[in-house]
Amino acid sequence: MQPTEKTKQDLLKAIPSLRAFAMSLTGNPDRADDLVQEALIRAWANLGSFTEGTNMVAWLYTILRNAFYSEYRKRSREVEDVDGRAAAAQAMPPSQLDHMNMCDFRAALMTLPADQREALVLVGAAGMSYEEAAEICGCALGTIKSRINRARTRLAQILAVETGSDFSADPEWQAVLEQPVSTARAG
Amino acid sequence: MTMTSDGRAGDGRNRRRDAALGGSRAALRMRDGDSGSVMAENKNGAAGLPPAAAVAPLPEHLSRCLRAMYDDVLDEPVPDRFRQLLEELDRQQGAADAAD
Repeated sequence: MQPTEKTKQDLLKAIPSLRAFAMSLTGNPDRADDLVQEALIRAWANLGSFTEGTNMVAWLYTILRNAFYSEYRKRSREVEDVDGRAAAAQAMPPSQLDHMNMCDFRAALMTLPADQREALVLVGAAGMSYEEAAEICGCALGTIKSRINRARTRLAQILAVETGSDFSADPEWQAVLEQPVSTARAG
Repeated sequence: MTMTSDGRAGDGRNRRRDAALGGSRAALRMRDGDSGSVMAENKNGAAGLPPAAAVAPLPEHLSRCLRAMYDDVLDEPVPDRFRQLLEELDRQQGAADAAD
């Protein structure tokens, strides 16, 4: 059955969101776009299972993520994927933020386990609620929350250890890094 | 930019919520959660900690990095290959339907 014009428009409109999510999963622009292509083909073939009026982007994220994990499992059987991590540091042009900080951040993000990374990105960047993220990832709400907690703790650790000297001149960073320790002692 | 507006429906709301959480309450939670390494948390024991319900937000600087990274890709124009792919899928579908 031919999809409606509206459905086709919605698919097209969702592509930037899909690319951004795919990029955060793969850390590599070429792999990200291949993943988006795979997701679009799967989505097209399964449009019958999409409920009109529900969040199409969330539905597409679910498909893209499933495609990612099936490819990821295939690849991890073949060869350790180091290129994704290496590419992460230089994959995207920095925007308004300091170049050095953004590269460090991307590299740190890509060292997180994929399940933590996707939870963090869905809620922290893609604007999904915890409930939506849990549905997309096919897990319990509490699982999403604990993954995000672990992700943020790990990120803060990595960036504090590896780039402490770079950030120490920045008062905002200094505050972020020192706050937990000092207040824990005070409290 | 208008291309992305639908894909990010609710975005603004969530970000405002995040911003609201970025205040003192969030800072308090962050202090709790950051009171030490995994070792320290284990020492304190799970009993004294609230259930996983309280998710501390990312520190503001990390949060901005995360969104900027995501938005960099989000704001890129849709590559032609995807428009062509959708047109091709549509064309194939049309041919298949006609054959039925």
